[in-house]
Amino acid sequence: MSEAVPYGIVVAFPVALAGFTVVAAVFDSVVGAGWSWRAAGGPLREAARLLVQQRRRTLLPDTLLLRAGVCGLLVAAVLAGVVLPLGERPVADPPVGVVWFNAMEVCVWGAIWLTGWGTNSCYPLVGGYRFVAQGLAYELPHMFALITVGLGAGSLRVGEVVAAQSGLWFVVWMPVAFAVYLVSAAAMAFWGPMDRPVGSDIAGGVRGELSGPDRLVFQVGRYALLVVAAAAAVPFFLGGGAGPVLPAWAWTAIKTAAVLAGLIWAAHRLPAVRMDRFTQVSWLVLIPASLLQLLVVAVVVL
Amino acid sequence: MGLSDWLTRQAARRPRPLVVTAPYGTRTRLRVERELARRGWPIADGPAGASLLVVCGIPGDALDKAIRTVWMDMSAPRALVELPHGTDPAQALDQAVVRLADAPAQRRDAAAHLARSRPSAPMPAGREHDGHDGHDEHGEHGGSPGGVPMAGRGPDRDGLALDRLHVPLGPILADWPSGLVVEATLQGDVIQRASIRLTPGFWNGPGPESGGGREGSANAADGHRDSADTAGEHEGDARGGGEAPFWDEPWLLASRGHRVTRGEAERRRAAAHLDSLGRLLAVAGWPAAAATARALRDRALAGASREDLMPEFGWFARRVGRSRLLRWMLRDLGVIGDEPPDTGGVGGGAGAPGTGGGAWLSGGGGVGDGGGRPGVGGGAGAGSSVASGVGVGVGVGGGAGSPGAGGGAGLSGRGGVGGGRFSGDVAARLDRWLVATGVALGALDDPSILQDDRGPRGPVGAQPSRALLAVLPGVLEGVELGAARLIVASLDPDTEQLGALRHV
Repeated sequence: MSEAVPYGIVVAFPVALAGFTVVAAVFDSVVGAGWSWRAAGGPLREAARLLVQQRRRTLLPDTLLLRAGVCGLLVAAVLAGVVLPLGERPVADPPVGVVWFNAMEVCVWGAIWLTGWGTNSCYPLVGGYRFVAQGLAYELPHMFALITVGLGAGSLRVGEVVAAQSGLWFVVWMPVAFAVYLVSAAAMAFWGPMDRPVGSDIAGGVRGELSGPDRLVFQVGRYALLVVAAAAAVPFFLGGGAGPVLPAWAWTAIKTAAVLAGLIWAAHRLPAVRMDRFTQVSWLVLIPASLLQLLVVAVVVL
Repeated sequence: MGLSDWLTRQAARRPRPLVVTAPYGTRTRLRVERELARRGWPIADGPAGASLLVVCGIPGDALDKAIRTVWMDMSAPRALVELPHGTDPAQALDQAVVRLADAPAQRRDAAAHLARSRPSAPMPAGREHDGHDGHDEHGEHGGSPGGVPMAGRGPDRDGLALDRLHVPLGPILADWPSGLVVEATLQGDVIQRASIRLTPGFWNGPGPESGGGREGSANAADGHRDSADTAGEHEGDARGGGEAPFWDEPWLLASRGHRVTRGEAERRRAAAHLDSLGRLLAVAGWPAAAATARALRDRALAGASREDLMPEFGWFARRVGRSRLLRWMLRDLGVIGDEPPDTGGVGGGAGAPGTGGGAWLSGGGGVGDGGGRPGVGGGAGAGSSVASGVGVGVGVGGGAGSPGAGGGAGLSGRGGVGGGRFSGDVAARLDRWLVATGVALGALDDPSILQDDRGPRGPVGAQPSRALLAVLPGVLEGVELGAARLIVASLDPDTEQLGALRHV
């Protein structure tokens, strides 16, 4: 595990992440248009539009914080992704890979809040508030789900988590943790039913004053985060690259695509969840449930 | 420049429109929405994400000012599409695409825009800045950074001292009643105080809008009605003008002696409810269901048959009605009680919360007409309230409920609404719309002559939207912003209805 990382992985990772990000945006557009493949070109035209669009100025923005927030989203997504194996191995496989993943995605909190705050406008600020409330609701169950994975594998190294599932995938004997992970993955990427921080009811929320390249980077960062959140479910719960016939990288891609498609489909299938309602359930149901799951796994491991 | 020109042309083929509806622009808005759905252009959630600003109808001065402000702030490439009544949206949108694709012109626009925004003179923010982004009033210097006064502080509901931001919600906001402005005092994302006003061109209530414009718009409203009177043709698309309350049109025509079949009226009712459902579902963050509601609405208005609409509506109603997640989110929001109406009401007892049309709001004859002139369809209004048996009549006989009389605005606000079909929480109102739409779609083929005036929102003559607006500030106070949006969408006051009133 300590030998030098092959250059192939270093090149393949950004290519794979970018590819999946585009695919996610295209699929989202297609499903959003009622399964109309006519809408497949939408995201690319939108990207073209944002590339040539002027930057919008608000009164007295905190430009430094705003830029840090907008770029921070993409940076956090990329950094969270480096510990995820593309096939046999990831770009980086630190002994605390699971914690690293968690830490990077917590940086998203900062990125969103800075974007909402730095704009100096009401609706983005409200979007920022919403994301902080969302974080309080999802983060604890999310961390318990990740700890369950680490406990089951007896290691926080992502490579060893995958290896521990050679007999039985974690999703089979940690179904609650997997379900909690999926919910929190959507919340983390403020996606689908959890998209109120960028909700249309507050005129776009956090991204409500972003236009041009700012909005493009923000949108790319959001899709990348969604991809990374979906991709992480593969080594954590779905046996990583394990599977018959096809090579590990192909299975990783297939499983990632399946989780991603599920998240995108759910986003269009379900109404939005407001945190003033959800937090109660999160704390009274999801946290106890994930603790019970942790207990069960602990007993089994012992 | 070759690459950016090419990108501009590519982008122009899929613009992002922001749609603003002016007074009596509903008919145009519906045509625009249908056209946008047909083209698959996704609607922008705010001015920053938009490249097209589509104005439906003819905005009055204040709305026009708000539109200009939004337009000034919009980033190039951009195009403004103004659709006075009766313009063909498809053609106008095509022309907008051509303008968007004109890279040199857009570059000139961008340069001019940049030059305008460069000077340090601050834009008037907050109140002047109608609508899209009441800038919050923070700044690192004391006093008034950037010309904007600092936010005041006050205790919030938990007793913490928090900034109070004065933010106008509307009039330019997606899925929002046209012309409505809620002046909200926000602490965090909770509305501490709310008051409402309407942009001129609609009814001007006892709000900050003052008398000058009121006369003008009152006369304009009268003029519209006269023109509608003479226009015997009431099939929507055939008549260009369309400056009458669109959703109430069949009932208004019937009350004036025109021959309207019940089937036609029910078609309009079903479309009105589907439009409201589309808004509520969009605000609830369920764009897919909202799109279905709107597609059904468009097909209903285009004359689709009952057999054609019923299966898909049934599927839609089941999906929405059975969504436990939606129910969970909408439950206990914006509860309007069943308390009895204010004293002075005639026929007082509060009605049972009707499902699908048992209980009706009713204001009786002279509602809101201090001058003593009977309101539109006043007689029919009183009659129907008797007929439906649940009349929460206020000021029957005229005069008692003048619009000038406080926030009550003619109807005894809470009592009037509470006794009617808007009681209960947001989920209850959603259910009632679903049921009422189903009933209305079932009666599409009814050839009998329309004789009552029970429009989509209640007796047309009584202008139930007036009562809805009157209860609005009360139910919005102490509510989180997202919940407030849902409450507004669940009441969906038809601001055009108010303009139909003869003014004091």
